[in-house]
Amino acid sequence: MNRKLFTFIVLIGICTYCFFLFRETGKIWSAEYKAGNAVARPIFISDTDMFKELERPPVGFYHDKHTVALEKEGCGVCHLQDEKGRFIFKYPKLRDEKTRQSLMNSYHDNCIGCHRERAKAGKKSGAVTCGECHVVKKGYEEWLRPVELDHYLHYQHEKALDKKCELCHHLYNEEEKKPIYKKGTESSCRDCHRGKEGGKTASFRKAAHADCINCHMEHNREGKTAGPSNCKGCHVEMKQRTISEMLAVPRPERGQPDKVIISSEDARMKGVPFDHRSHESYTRSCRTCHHKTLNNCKTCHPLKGSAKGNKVALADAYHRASSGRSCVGCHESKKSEPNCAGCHHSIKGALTNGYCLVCHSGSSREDQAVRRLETLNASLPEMAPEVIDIGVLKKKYMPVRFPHLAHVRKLFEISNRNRLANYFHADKAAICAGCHHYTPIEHKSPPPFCRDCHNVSFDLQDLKKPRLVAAYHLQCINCHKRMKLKPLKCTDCHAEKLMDKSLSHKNRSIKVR
Amino acid sequence: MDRREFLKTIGIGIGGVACGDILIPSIVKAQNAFGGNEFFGVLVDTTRCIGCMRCEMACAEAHNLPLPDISNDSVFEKKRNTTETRWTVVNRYETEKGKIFVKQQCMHCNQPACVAACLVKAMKKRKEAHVTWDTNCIGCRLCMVSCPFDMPKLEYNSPLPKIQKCNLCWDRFQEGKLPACVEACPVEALKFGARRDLLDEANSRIFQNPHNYVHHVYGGHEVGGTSYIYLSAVPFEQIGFRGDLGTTPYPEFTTGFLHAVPFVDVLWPLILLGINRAIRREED
Amino acid sequence: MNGKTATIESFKDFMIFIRSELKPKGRIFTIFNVISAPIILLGAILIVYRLAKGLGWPVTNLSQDFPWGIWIGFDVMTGVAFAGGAYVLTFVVYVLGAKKYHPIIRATVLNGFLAYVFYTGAIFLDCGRWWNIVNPMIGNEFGVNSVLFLVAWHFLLYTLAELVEFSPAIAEWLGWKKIRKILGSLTLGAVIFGITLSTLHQSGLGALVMMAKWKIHPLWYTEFIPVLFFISSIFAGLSMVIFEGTISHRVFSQQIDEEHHRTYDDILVGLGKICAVAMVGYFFLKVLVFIHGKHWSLINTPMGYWYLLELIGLVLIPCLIFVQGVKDRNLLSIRVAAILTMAGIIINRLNYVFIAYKWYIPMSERYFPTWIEIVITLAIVFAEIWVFRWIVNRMPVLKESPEWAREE
Ligand code: SF4
Ligand code: SF4
Repeated sequence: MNRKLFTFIVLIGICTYCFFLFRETGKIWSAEYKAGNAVARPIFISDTDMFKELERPPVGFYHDKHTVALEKEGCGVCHLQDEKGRFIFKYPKLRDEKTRQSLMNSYHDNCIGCHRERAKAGKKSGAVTCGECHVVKKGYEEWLRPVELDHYLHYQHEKALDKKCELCHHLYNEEEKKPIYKKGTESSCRDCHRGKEGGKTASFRKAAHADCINCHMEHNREGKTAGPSNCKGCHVEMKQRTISEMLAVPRPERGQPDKVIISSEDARMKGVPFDHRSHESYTRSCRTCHHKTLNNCKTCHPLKGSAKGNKVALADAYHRASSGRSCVGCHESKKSEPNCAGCHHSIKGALTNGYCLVCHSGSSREDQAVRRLETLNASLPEMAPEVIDIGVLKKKYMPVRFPHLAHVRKLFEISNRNRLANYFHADKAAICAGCHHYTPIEHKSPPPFCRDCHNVSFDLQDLKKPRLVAAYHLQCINCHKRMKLKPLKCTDCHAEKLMDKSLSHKNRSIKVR
Repeated sequence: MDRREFLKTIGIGIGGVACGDILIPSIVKAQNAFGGNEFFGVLVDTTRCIGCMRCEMACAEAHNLPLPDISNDSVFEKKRNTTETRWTVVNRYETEKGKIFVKQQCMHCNQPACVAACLVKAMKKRKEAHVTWDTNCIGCRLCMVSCPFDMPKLEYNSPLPKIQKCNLCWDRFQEGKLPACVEACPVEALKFGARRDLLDEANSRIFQNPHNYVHHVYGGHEVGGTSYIYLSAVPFEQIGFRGDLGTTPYPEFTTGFLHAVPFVDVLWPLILLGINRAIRREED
Repeated sequence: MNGKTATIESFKDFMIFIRSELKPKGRIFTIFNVISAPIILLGAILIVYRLAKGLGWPVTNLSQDFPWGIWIGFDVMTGVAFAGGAYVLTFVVYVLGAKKYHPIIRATVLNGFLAYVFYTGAIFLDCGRWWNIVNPMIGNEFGVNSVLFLVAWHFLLYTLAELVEFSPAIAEWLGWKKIRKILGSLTLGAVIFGITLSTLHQSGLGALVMMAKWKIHPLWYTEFIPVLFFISSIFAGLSMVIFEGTISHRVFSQQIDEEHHRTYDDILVGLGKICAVAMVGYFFLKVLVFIHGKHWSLINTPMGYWYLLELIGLVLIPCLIFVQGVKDRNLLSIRVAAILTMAGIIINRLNYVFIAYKWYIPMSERYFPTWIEIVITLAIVFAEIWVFRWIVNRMPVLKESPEWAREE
């Protein structure tokens, strides 16, 4: 090889690397490389039903960017319109889904074709090579939240459409092959529109996009107030409705009962009086308890369970603690609210046997007035002390003055305010057990001391039971923490021992070995 | 002192149980139940820790280190590491579940990298779990390079430096006392016991409060298991633990090489000699 | 100059002889001397300072995060790699019997020997508890599970082996004929022993950092570190031989006879050939490891560029230059390549010790050597060169052995 040429190439090589190197010198030692959080976020197109295993990373498609860029041209650039001018929101316009290859081609022809054309016409355009679209995008979690039409949103629609339920709700008449409306049969769209893409009934996704967006756009064109028609408009994190918002929302009417006694003929337990009406206001939408159909539970969950109800038996349907739909599950979840969590976080088990009859009373609620805790004095055990000095472990601090009665009073008050609690805390022992766990509370005899069970010293064999100091601290601190009460400093409860200067940390000089 | 005798001493000591001066009872059970080879350990339940730093204080008092200032919270503003004069530190992490405090110290690995690294066995793994340091150390700092948790610390500013790190209160243990930090913890976020019992306890806490914990016991299998094990309400990466340490005991990264040594030492000379002879024969 | 045949009869003679030899030869005020003498002096003072002060600042910038600095990274890791020329050459000459390289063998062995002596000196300085440094040798606990234990022992034994390999030159210098004969017969044994030890401690140095798994940047960490260290020590050592040979041929040219001067070009080309082959092997192993590691995405980061600089700029390119130099018999290319290769090795070893080590730590908290560390390092290097020069000027290293020794 020509020597000069060779040296030249070598020099160029070195220079290039030096260039790369020094361009970044400032950052050579910087920490890991983090993907920036871009504002616009993509939808991932993967059509895994058809493509199965992907050869390249899925395409991160920026729908909203396209909507903005093609505002003038309109949705028609990418989506087909039917004879009524309504858009059919599928892409590509003419999908050929016969084979993997053909579907892939439809995507490629449509996207790249359009990009090329626009580029040729000198307009703003997009990617045309593989690597520009098929890139690994990390750091995007699923950001499209499922849309939930809660009571509030439903009511907004009702208002805007003058209570014309038929505009959205429909049944399907097989013979006439068209949607019909029948009052009293309304249910969730998902009831019929389920299943996968390409079935006989439009998938939920397709149906919802077609109906919602077209209607919104129509309203928009007519100059009426209209809902959003871009992704971000609907697919957002659902927010908590305020009480005032909810107050204005009337009950959705579908012939549901006000009050029922839930019972089943061959069940052994007595029926449960249930206030359907008031529960409506505790829930987000009908689907909080009901599935897609708005049937009553028994229909699919008979006593012994059926295939239709996924083999879940009736008792389970009501009592399964892990399900957000069941009575127990939902009530259980209330226990984690700050007012309740203070005591309930440490009380294990969803159902305790004494409590069955609280619900299974058999009689209608009407004649069973809400059982409130009576006034404090009448319901307290005789010996309940006003203040307790806890001093067994005093070492660095003065004994703790624990205002026992004030605590009880506060808990009574909280419990009385809550309707659910009213049913379950009717017995004062329930409140006392928040702290005095595993021990009987009676009128006559005081409960055992904490130290009766909680050893003063550390017990290697009993890892479950905290020793006394820890028991106190865990009990008090955890409850305060869960109830979101003010942060606790040591001196909030313990007065520092002023006498013993040597033990106060501040007065200790740092001693160096 | 041999085990039996040690236990006897402790047995006698139990008579004097007093608050604050707690002796370890019933090591008998912990040790004998599993053939006497059970490691001790400490379970740290970060959901319980309140960040009072009593453990730091107790550690400093027990080992004659400069006392920390625990009178205010400002120390939490920056993440601290253990140092040669602070064998354990409590850090605060802001997470979606609120502030979480995490005590850090040497993890007392079941198969410690530092021990495998040490060329004079100055770092020792005691059969009771403690990883301790001895004065025959030459100060080469390979243990610092090797430790997956970066725990051994050298006293750089001393002409006669020592390696310093938590030793799980080896001295106190021999007197039958609990580790100082465990004894000081007011909420029992730290539990001392047989490691296996602690693992059971940790798992049962997760089982009983599935929503309060991430379903993982850190140290259960990390780097082959550690004597300090942790529970947490948020993924461990969020509270300063590395999630990518893997479960391979660290010493195993060098065993491949070490196993090759005897072979090379024996075979190389033979091969070389063979080559040499073969070539020389040709020349002749 | 040639043939110091006077045998030394008694201890007194010996002392006289040594005293005469201790006197400096040649000019005293050369540029090199003027620069190096003060540095060595300063270094000596600083060494005392370091022993009195401990390792921390202001002596070194080592910290809890960066326990190892240039004393380990440069003096030990790099120094030992550079000393690798000795085992490669002895292998080529004594085991494979390639007589061609015989003229440079003594200088190389001497260089290797001194490197070990001085760099273990660096370990001594770097050890926090240096007074304990004999512990692993005297059995104040043998940490047999430790890689470092193995490396320490192999260091020691290898230094001895090199001393044995070099000892004929000493015997010739002192004129001890009988002893020369015995020592000469030990050479092959020492060589074989030495190569074995070298294989292990060269790779052992790499195995030291094996447990720093997540602390070393994934582009550098692989389970093949020991193998990579071993292979790289081959061309690192030979590059050093080329470099050192080039300089000593200039400096000591009057000691070298015609014959040697003529074959020297040949030798360099031969060495270049070995380097090129070893580097090709090394390069492919590196690439293989990289591909297996699936770290493509890391390449486009600052650390990735740094990696490429090391791998392409300081391995592949010098390798190509070697190939070209060998083909054209162009000594300049070979020398340039050798220097580039050495730079690559330095960077590579430093990467493992403190550059790619804990790469995630922000710049402001990173290790950077203090001037004291640098001066002491320089002092060690200069001191080594002084001793080297002293020996070369007296013993038959570059010059011919005396008549009586050449006979057999
Ligand atoms: S955490 Fe580090 S110092 Fe502690 S035992 Fe494990 S390897 Fe050793
Ligand atoms: S610094 Fe000491 S304890 Fe650590 S590996 Fe070296 S000799 Fe062992």
